[in-house]
Amino acid sequence: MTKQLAAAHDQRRSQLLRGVLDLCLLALIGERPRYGYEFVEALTESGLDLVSEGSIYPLLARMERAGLVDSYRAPSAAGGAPRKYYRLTDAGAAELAAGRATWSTFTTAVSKTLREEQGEQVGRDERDGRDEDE
Amino acid sequence: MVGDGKISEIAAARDGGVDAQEADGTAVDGKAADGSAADTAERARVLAVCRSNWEYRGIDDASMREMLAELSAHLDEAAAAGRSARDVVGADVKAFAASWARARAPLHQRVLRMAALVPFVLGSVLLIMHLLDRTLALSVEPSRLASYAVIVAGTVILEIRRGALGFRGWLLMGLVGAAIALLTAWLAGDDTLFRLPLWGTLLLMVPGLPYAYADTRARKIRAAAA
Repeated sequence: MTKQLAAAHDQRRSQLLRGVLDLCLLALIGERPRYGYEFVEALTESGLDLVSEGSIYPLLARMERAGLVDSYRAPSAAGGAPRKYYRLTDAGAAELAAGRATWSTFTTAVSKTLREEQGEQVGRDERDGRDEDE
Repeated sequence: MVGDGKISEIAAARDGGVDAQEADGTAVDGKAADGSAADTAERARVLAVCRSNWEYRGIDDASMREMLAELSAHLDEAAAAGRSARDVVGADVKAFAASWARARAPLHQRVLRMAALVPFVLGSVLLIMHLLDRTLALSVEPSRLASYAVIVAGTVILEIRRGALGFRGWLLMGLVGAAIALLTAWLAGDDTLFRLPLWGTLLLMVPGLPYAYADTRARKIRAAAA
């Protein structure tokens, strides 16, 4: 049962991340140009583990096609072969700003809803307690 | 796969000069080497499957090389951090490759490319047959048609699933093609269905020429830049 709950929790986290992964990638590129593996490192550092790391590439390709990011090749700081770096375009910056606003409104609404539910639960617990006392 | 910690533990025990632990160390080193070889093979398989899928999904040569370089660099860094190729691309390599291909180029662009390149490849094979048979009009029999169809279908399916066919795969496809040719000849006879003139073969190759030229040019530019 605990395992099932943990799996359901992981699945929910994964689904939530999938919905905002493009926004997270845009935000990370907004900080500075990055290459593929750096996104995974930055997400992991923030506590956002991807089920499959490679899922960032189709998203990056889609955003590049949409003109939200563009790319260039440059040697990486770690050495080795040149990497493909992604940087934000003006359209990408505008999309990021709009996405941040949407996320902020959405999370506020979700937090409010979840708090209300929590409040209801507290209320139910209190009622149950009174019933037991009587 | 044996973790770095385990290997260093064994290495420390071996440095201590304990014979039994030395033996264990050798065994673990052997396992680590096996694990590393398995990881290398898995990495090669993932790259081969992605390459085949992108080729058959109509991704142009320059884009495909760029995607392979990007994925290869990611796999290297993930391996250095102790993560496998499976952690990077997930359990279904084909689905990963297909998803990236769809995101990279719109369907109509990829379909156009494949619609031009498939006849080009077919025309190239037929041109070789013209040269081998030293004829300006190639006889096409049911057996030849059936064996070509089976070889092409088998090659595409196997390469999409497993990556490169390899010598054994080609040998297998050749044998299956020959068996199908014999079976078709026995069942349907070996009468000529039609004769394909050389100009017909060359015509098949025309739509793919711009793509083939662009790919070759991109390859040369890349080689010169490297």
